[in-house]
Amino acid sequence: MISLRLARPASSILRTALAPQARTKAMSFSGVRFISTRYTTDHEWVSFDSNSNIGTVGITDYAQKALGDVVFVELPGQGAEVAQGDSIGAVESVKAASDIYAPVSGVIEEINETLADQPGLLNKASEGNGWLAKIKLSDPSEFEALLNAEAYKAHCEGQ
Amino acid sequence: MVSKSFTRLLNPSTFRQVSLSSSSCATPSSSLPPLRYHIFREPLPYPVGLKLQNDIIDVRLKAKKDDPAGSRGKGDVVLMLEHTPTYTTGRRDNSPNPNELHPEEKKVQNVGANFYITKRGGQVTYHGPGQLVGYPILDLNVMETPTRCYVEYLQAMLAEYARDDLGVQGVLAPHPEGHVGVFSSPTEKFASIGIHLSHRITSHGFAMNITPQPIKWFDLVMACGLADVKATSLHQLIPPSSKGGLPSVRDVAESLIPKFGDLFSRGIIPLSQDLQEEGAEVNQIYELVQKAEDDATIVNGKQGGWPDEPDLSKRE
Repeated sequence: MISLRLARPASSILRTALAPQARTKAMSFSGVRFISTRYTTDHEWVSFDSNSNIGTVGITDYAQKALGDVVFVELPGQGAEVAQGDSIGAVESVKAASDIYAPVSGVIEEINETLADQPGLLNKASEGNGWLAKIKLSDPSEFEALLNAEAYKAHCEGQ
Repeated sequence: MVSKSFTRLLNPSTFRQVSLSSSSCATPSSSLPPLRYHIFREPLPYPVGLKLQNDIIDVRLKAKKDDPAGSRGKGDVVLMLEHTPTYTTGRRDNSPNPNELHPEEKKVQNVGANFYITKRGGQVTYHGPGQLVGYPILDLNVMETPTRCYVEYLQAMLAEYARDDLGVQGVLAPHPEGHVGVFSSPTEKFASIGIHLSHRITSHGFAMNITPQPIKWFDLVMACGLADVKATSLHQLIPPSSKGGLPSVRDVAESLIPKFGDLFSRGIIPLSQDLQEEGAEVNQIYELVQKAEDDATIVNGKQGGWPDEPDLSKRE
């Protein structure tokens, strides 16, 4: 069953960056594909494309501000199988290396190689070009259970 | 006791203006329980210290999960210790080739120290007797302290201690070119910082050379990735006119303890104090610390102690 999910209002970056995809033959009714974004309490975001089952993962603006200037990003290997909550690498800034965690379970499809030469991208565009990895989800329900934008904002303010 | 803000008026610190990002750091007022500290009685082999930190973090993460509200700040501890001679590096140096030695490791084969790759930030450094190592294990989320502010606070605390308490001249923190740490000139460093964060709980921490004993070991490697910088120690920097004389590693540890409290606006008490009134988390941490003390004694005993100086005769 295909369920339609609207892109969350708070993610204006995503809304302008993503245009609805053309209808495919397989979809017999409205079939417009939406990509939605959810967040974790560890300040990561996942942008999930329900069509391809791929979630793009990164750290939030809140996280990159707290870290300071990023000098190094350690990423998982392509093809690695990860479970939700597994440590999948780290972001290093000013002598502090913060572990990053898999927000959802699945297989690492692709990692952002640009970060090897330009770790600062994580500061400049943490919710855009500074994405960390793309995961093929093994369990999309894990994505649904993450925080939506409002809940994440409340979490940040409550800390 | 003079309040922190009053001291700042008298002695405007240049160390707290550090801002590698746009917003500055301000210590929030705190209603959290006191920090707890422990000063180890003998130098710990590095793996003993590492295991202890990881075990404490596991205990804390579980306590946080079981009772997020009740556990707030309870398990925040500061461990002060020395290590037996050891070289370490951070996670940037996670060599993809297990058959190749790290280039710095090659330099110190067979000198009498092991070489470990850790999960902290920062690059190659040395730990050993004569150097005070501090491992604050703090929940930065609960303390509402961004990571970069935590690093700045540690750096400022060590710099201010050297300058104001000991009279060291020319203290620079950070280095004029932005390198994190505490320097006595653009080419001499006496304190380093390297942190690991797991779900925003800190481990590893800082290391400050008190006596000149670590220097010969430092001279064998390019520490911190800084080719032009040499290690120095407080004893080499304290002016002869200073009335306090030369503090021991333990003296420095004891002097820094109250400053941790000031830094985070919290009380600071010995780990062992009032244990019977505390819950499982603090008691478990206490047990882990006691075990680490015992393990250190056992391992050091088995290895017949540790060398005072590097053995340069067997290097390749």
